[in-house]
Amino acid sequence: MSEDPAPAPHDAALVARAQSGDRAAFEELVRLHADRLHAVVLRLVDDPHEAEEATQEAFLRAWRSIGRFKGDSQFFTWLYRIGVNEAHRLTSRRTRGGRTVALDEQTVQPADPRPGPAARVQQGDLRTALENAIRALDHDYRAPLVLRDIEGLSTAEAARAMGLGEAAFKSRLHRARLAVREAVRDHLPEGPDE
Amino acid sequence: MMRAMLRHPLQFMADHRFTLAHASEFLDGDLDAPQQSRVERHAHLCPKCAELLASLRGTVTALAGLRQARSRPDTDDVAGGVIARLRADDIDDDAPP
Amino acid sequence: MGDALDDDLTPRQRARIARHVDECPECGPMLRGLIRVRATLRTFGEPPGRPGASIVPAVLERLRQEPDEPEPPVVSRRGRGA
Repeated sequence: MSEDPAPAPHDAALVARAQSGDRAAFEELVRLHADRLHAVVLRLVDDPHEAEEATQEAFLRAWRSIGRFKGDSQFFTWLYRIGVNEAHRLTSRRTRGGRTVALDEQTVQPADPRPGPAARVQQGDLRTALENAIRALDHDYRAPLVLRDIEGLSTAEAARAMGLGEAAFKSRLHRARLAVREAVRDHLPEGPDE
Repeated sequence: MMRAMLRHPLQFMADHRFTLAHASEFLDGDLDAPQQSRVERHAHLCPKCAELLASLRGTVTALAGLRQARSRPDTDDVAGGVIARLRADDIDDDAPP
Repeated sequence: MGDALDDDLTPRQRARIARHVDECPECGPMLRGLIRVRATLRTFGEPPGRPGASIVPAVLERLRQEPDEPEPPVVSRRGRGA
């Protein structure tokens, strides 16, 4: 179900050149990956200005430390990890209470410290409910969902982009999905008749 | 469902907990064959789990629908800063089931 | 089944799913339901924002302000197989 961006061998050649200081090669990596990384970051930070800033910062960090990329994972996984960390730095600076609210298996609705509409939105349509449900998730649960279910990374790649083992990643993903499902199930089209 | 529950209550509850815990893996095809069968058998007996699996699958499908059009690199033409966006037409929604 | 909607399947996998959908009284409605979900979302079109705008120019511009060379690799290595 996952779709990868540019083919790996192409990336590998560009990375090798960038590691020897070839700026043009790195700029080509920017062209290949920036928009997709930006889409991910935007879903994590919500604010377009912060998303632009975080994306730029991520590529800067990647450029400065490309010598440390060992090639034991795909380049874009390494890049996404930098981007996800940048997004987290930005959001944890905000007055959100800071600590991740653990999603208990019994409590499928995450506690939302922000004032405003309840997580279970009855307004409008599926799309609105979905977007609100995603925004109600803290970073630690939102990021796995965005990487795996919206961007379509494989479980392995998404886990690596989070810096998590697969078991821990799957657990977070499952709870995030349950929370979103709770918020949108009224808006899903009717299922089969029992 | 009642018959299954009453006949083998411990097994039913064990299967129920297993299904709740592994529903996402089931949907993602990450369970081995015996585990997959276990969830399928239980979902046939348990309306709550059947609904959970259906709505969870619907949720994941809805999330995938938010995926934006991907930028695809046009490797023959890399001039300029903006690459052309090719819209990936990845599903034909008008196809009859 | 989600893969079926994403066109990620080989023809053989598609045939298997098609056979199963025909035989299974639950999967047929479920697949139709999933198609309806996807169709509903597609009517909404692009998310808010400027869908045509790429972030690439902004990133390249920021990069060009960066004066330093990247850090050299810690150890010299041959190219690794992808």
